[in-house]
Amino acid sequence: MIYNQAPFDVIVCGAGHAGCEAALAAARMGASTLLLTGNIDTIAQMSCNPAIGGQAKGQMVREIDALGGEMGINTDVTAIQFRLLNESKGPAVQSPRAQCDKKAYQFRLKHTLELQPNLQVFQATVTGLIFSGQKVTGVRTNLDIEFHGLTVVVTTGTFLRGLMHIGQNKNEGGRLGDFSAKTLSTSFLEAGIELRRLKTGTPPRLLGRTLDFSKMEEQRGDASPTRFAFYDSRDPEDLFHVEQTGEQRIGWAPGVNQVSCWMTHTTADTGQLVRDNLHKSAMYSGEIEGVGPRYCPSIEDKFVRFADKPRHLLFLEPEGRSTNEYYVNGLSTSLPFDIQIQMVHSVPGLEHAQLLRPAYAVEYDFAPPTQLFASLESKKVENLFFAGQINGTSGYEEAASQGLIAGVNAVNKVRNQPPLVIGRHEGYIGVLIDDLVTKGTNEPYRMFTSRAEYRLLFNHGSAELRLLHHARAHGLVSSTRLTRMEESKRQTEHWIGFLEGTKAPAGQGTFGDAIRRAITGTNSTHVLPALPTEFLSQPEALRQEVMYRVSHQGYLSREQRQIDKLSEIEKIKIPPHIDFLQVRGLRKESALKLAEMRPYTLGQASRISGVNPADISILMILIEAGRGGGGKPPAA
Amino acid sequence: MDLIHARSERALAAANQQLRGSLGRHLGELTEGLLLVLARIEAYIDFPDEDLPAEDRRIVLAELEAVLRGTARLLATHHYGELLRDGIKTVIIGEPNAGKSSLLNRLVGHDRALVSAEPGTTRDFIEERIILGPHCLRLIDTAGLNPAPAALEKLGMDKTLERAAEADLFLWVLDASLPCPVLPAAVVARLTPANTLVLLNKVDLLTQPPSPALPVPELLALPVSTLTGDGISELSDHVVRLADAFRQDQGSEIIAINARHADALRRANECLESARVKVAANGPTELLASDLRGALNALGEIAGKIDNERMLDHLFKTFCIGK
Repeated sequence: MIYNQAPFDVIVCGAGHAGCEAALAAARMGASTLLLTGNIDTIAQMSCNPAIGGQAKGQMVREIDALGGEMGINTDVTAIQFRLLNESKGPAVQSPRAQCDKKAYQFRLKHTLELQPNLQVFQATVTGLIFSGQKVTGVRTNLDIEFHGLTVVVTTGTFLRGLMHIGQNKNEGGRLGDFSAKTLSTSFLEAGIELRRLKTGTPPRLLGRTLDFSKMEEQRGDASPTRFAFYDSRDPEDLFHVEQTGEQRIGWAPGVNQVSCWMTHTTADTGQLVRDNLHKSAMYSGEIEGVGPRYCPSIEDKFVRFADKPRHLLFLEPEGRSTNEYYVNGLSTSLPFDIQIQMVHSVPGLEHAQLLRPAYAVEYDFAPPTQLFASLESKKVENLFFAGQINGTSGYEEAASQGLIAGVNAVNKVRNQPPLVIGRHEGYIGVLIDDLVTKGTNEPYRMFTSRAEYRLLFNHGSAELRLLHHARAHGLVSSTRLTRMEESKRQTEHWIGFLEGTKAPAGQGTFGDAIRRAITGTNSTHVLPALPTEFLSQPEALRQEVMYRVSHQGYLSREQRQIDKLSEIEKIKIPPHIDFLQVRGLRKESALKLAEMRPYTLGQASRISGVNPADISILMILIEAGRGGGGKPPAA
Repeated sequence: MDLIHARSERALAAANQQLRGSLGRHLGELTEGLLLVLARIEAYIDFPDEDLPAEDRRIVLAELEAVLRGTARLLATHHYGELLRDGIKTVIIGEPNAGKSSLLNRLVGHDRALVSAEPGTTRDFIEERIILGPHCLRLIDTAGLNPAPAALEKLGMDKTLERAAEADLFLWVLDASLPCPVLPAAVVARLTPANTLVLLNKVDLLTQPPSPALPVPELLALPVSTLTGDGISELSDHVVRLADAFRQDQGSEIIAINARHADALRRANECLESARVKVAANGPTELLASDLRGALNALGEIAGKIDNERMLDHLFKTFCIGK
């Protein structure tokens, strides 16, 4: 049957971290939205470790929050442990991280979806896309129900021809206990979309009461939690909580009653077990064709590649308040189950551990993301958007970021509005998507702070200031929140000006000078002068941001200068109808590359490998000439 | 060696092309070295929860200093590059009427400078490029260094002193029939046996061999006559000998960076120096990384943008990352 005659504006396939953000963003922009998921009970499931944030990822979650997304606030109200990483280093590289109650996280997000106006959630497995020419017009499901939509956002995670490996044992599925989306791949291939294979893995889960924590080292949360959402600007109704509702919520705040993680390590016996049984590992016996990540190696990889390292650190992470299940961070493997049991038992504190779930590796299809525009729309099929692991990424935060952008841009497409494209100089989300669509990836792509050229500008506290103009332009936050965000930006600028323009006591120049000498100077004898009380009475988040901007002014302006130098070509948009192969003067190799990649701006073009500065000059002249001549580029 | 014989723009460009190979290789080595240093720093920024070995800034310092030596070496080739492209700056100095312009004309092989018996005829500079053996020389004729100059001459003399300050080689022309004149101290200070030849001119007017009292006694003095051409061929041999030394400083491989390269390398150097101070003072990690990334950006301006993936390759090879 056909479910709807009037098409939805946006159909989102998949309700993981990407799908949830995509659906919420679209519905919040006022678009009629349908979210399809194979299983409503696994909405927003953390398939791997029960944690959000960490290096670069924590900053991304704050960016998601600045753009009206849900991940930050959902983490805050369901987290059971908060830690600020790199606290001893500077603000730019400090990252919030939280252990979440896995089930609470899912329940709250599911309820958020249920309460969201303009959004309908339905349980069905998408089996294929419906095309009209080179456009997508809807989806087909396993119940033989067709849904029509003006745009479709695909967020398949690891489910696309998902194949799980435990030693020689193979099971179809995207996650233990779940199904595999097999026929959807055929739809993509028919549309001319290339697919490749990636691999990822997850460690075993253990029963807490069988563990001996006295042999492990405790890792506690921070006494004063660093949250992900911007509470100074958020509307009160955003803070809704499933478990603590109404009266119950009085006196409750994120970060109370935190739970600990526990550290232990592998032993010589673990290493011996791995080495003796390497041939039985799916990864090492050639069973797996997909490429795994370098930064998240299996325990087999660690013992093989770093043979001289006697032991490896393991973290026991609780999966929630109302469960006794523990995640063994660091013990990802595709060795057979019997070896897994022996391996676990070789670890101090885990001698008698009972396994609740085995470790496994999973292989899945992804669509190399260079097949996408910067809007995340497919270059091959109009109105089709991709987000999350199908684009070759790894991580909940990376997925959620793309989901948000894809959801917003699906609506922009329906409304014939320009897409939301975040610059590499504006935030990690910009770096992520630009890397994906320009360079592609050969392994599951994870964000690192080092991937950002302008890392010092991307401190987590400044996400709202950096992305405010996008939130405003695309209507991503409520008008009341927008007003507060704008006020916060004004206040930040005001107090920077105040400190830079006010003389400090005892001839130390301005307060700005004194702060720089004390905080970023190389002479450690300088101490911070007492700051004016009118500044000290400002909210903490504001003060921190102002102090950071002032103390690191020299370094921040060095990055800003670099941005300004490159900004000209970043702003020049390449007309979509340009025929690179007909442009005189372009080298053949560059023209072919450009025709394939179809970059959005000259800046993006300049980052394509093989395109050189001379090619960019030629394009710049061509585009400028086209603009002067009334919009159409000259026939080349 | 083609570059030295390059007479036309096109030949020069072709020669430059050949240089690009070895320059590229050296830059590549520097870049790899720097990426490794950066990887050691970045690991502690991006993977704070990992079981990394204690941060050892001594290794970082040693590696950083090696990179710094490399950039300094490359920067040093900038001057040699100028010598190759523009010729070895050879300044002819001496008193008015000692025969400087005549010498220039002799070396060039035709009358280029206006010559007269009246002292102080050359007030502006005359430049000629000549090929001497394997070298290209930029001969610069100067106004005479008169111990008691007239106002107009004074102007010319100041310019001469400026030229002398940046000269690679000096040809000091003396009138052998007169006592050795007094040169300005700033000029004398620059004269060494390695960069100066004293030419005792007008030997055709003498009956006895000249023996002037030179301010720097070790300088080699050659009798010549710009009028008859006697001694000019010996002079040429000696100039070639001195010019050879510039090339020997360079080692067997020829690299010559241009002004744009030198500018980028200088900025890279500044960033590296700043990084070195931070390593020594145990400064903030992410700011140290910022300096190193600044240096990489500068190197990237010469050889093309450096992909962060290359740093990550080093990082994941050096450290066991991943939980």
